[in-house]
Amino acid sequence: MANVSAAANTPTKAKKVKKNSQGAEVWSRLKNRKLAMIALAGILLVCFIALISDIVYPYQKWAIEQVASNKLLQPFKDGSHWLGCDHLGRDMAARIFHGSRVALLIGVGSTLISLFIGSVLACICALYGGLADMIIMRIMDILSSVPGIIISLAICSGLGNGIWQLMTAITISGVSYHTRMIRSYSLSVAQMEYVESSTALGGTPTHIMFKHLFPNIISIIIIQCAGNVSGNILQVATLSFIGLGIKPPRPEWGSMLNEGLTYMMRSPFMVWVPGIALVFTSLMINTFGDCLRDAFDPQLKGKA
Amino acid sequence: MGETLLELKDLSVRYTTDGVISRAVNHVNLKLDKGEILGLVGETGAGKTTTALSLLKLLPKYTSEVDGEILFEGKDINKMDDKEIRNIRGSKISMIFQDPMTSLNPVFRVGEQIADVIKIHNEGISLHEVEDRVDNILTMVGIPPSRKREYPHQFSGGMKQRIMIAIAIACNPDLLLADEPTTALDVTIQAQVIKMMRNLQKELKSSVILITHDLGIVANFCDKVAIMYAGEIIEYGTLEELFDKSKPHHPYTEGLFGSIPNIQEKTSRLKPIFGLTPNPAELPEGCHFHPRCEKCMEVCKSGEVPTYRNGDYRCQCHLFAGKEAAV
Amino acid sequence: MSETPLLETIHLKKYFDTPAGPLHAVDDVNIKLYKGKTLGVVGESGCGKSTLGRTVLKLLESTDGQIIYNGEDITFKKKKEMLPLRRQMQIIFQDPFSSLDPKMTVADIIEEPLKIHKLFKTKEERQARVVELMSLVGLDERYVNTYPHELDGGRRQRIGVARALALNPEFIVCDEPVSALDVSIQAQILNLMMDLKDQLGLTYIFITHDLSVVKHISDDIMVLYLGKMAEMAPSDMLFDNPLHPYTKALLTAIPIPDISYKGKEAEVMKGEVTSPINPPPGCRFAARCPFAKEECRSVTPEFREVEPNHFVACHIVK
Repeated sequence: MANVSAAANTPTKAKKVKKNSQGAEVWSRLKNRKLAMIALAGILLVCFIALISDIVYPYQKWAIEQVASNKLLQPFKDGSHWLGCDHLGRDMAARIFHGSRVALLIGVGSTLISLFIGSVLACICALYGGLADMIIMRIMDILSSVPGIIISLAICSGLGNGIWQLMTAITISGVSYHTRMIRSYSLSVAQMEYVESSTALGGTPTHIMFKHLFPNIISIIIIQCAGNVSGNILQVATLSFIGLGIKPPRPEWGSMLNEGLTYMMRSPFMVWVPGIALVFTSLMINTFGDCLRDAFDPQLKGKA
Repeated sequence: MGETLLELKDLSVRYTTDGVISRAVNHVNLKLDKGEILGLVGETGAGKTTTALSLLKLLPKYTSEVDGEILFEGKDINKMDDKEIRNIRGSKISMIFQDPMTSLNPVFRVGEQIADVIKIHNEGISLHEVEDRVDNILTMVGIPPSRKREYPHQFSGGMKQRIMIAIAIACNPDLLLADEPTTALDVTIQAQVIKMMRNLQKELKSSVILITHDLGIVANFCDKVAIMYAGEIIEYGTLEELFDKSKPHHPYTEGLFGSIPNIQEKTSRLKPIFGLTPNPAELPEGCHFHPRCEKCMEVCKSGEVPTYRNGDYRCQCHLFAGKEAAV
Repeated sequence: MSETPLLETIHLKKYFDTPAGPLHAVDDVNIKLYKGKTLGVVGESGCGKSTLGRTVLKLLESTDGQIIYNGEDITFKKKKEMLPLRRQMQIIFQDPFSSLDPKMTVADIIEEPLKIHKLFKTKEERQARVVELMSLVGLDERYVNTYPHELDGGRRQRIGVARALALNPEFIVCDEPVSALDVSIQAQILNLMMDLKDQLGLTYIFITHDLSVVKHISDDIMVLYLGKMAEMAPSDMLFDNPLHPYTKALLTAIPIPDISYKGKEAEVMKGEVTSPINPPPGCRFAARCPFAKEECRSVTPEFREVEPNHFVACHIVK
């Protein structure tokens, strides 16, 4: 805190009070939370796995090639296949590693895109209001009146299977939610007197949008982002589980779960392994999101 | 004077946030007789509200620490468990909050909200009797009983504050804590509410602690005045003693009077106290007021400040040294 | 007085559309404000005083009437055409907490107007101006990099003043600049604003609900009630000889910090402000006025000059 109580009357040559930006403040608070650090480590681990999967397990040889002799090889039986092999003799560890790429790519990618579209639309709504606001919000109403999963289903069956199709589907189903949320926050910011003061100083709507609106809702966007990524990863898995989305033989956690279902009684590891991967990833991201929310929470801030 | 209702002995409250300790209330000693009206005056952050909340044990449990004794009718509130204090809240001590807009529950009719308090503290009371009392109380605060079936949003700010007062007096409390009850109201409405409260107090004979920053209201309403600064009571006395401009006062008290724009005098400039109220996390050494004090002496800058006493009157300032035995 | 007023409003009206009908926030307000003078606008919440301040600055579109600034009619100016005028007219807000962007440092906030109007070429020149402004309003230079939430109300309000002064305006609307502050800080800020006025030759519209605050700073005082002008007079005249029953009620309602007044029961005005939505004809104050006659409830009183420079809208006052 600034040394508010330092005598205001004595002319001081005290050093300029250090600038401590919100980012730094949030990070220092996060650093002190053990849980946040564990979750962050977990997330980094998943990212790391996705990065090195090609080096450790070359795609063609390990994730796709079927070796008949390794069919349903149990885990920890063979040094080179430590997570075992599936019903077609493909290495489970390699498939999980490569599956993490799909999960992260779509999870993070579609979140970012839908958040970006959502924030721009929301800011337009909040700043210009009137007709623009009405048209955008009515479109969002239509979008949100259909459940996200149905939209995804429709897009996937229309555009066919594939990573990009799946990403589009999930992005579109997310846009209306983000627009709504961010719009309501933007509206409350747009009503603040500092926005009015900027208008009185001659600031244009674009100036206000970038100078005042964005910086003040960015924390909310970040928190939403964290929550949304894990939701999207689960949605990818759900769609793949029912056979939409990722084209086989590309490994994906949801489709792996589906394959494992048939062999669940004999080889439960086929369900366990992708299941744990999925739960671990979404748990870590969600936990981190919660910690972020706490770190951003103004209630914890010391009052001057 | 009558018998003592409330006595604070060396009350201190500390808050801890993010590892920073704020000393909100420091060694407060205070006595309140039955039927007496005490004005607790001070600026933002002086610890007025914290003091009041500690009387009801309403401070946040995990971030605050209360030391000292709060003797209410001889029993220490600070040592009471949850059940005991619940029996006191609302029935023996009740509180009126500053903001009437947010202190009422918007989804219940105002009559129900008043009835609730009566039912909680009078088990087995008949519904008919409750209704009678609600009507009675509403009349007392100047609201026609026919309006009890309306919702809070149908009332104006002044009316809502009357309802808050009605809820507070529903069980005939011995002590009423009024935390800036009129600050959120317009002047003409403020005058109405103050007048009503004064009449109510005469009728109910409860003791009142009125928390305010407005010396004008104090002059109109109180018997005793305590001036708070940085969590300490720096001056205490009867209304006449505090408002007697011929006597010396604590420099902060004098500063407060000087800061008020007086509509009866023609002055072009005000005489403000320079500087700012200290941060309770970083209270200055010695007298907490010394960095802002125009009469600051070397002795003020460190060590304990003695209290000068004259009967019940007391003032915590070095300027009074030698005039009476220091404690 | 032959010189042109700096600001003049003629029959200025601002109505808001509500589901229940038009809300008469500002109704037929005429202001003539000369350079270097201060007009105090006093009224209770909901009387339209803040709306008036925002309407003359064209932060809100007026419904009817004219706003003339420096002899030029600005009523129908578009946003772009207002840009050069924004340098001359500014506003200081009531709430030092919501009027400063929490994500900007003190320097960023004071710099913002300089950037919008591209006043200085280099960053150094801008920063020098920021430091100059900070010392003008009595803010220590070491706070340039702090965020508003780290400062107290008084300092925050000084930032607001510095921001308003950054463009060297000649006219400032002060919307309750001290009512959110503690008494001792209030006096500091009031003194600062009076000094700045003398130093820089500023013209103020000073909006407040507290008559005692405007007494010191205003040359003229206008009392508003439900969007209508009730009384207008030079400051001293208004305090010495208030004519409108509402002005009188406002004056007696102020609690005086002097015990010699204790016990002397002042007349407490009854009733509350009525709704400004679709107000009935007649005097708006009639419902609360202890002297209201039949005429007051049917005929809108004219705002007329009863003695030199003393205007009042009341049927009772002769």
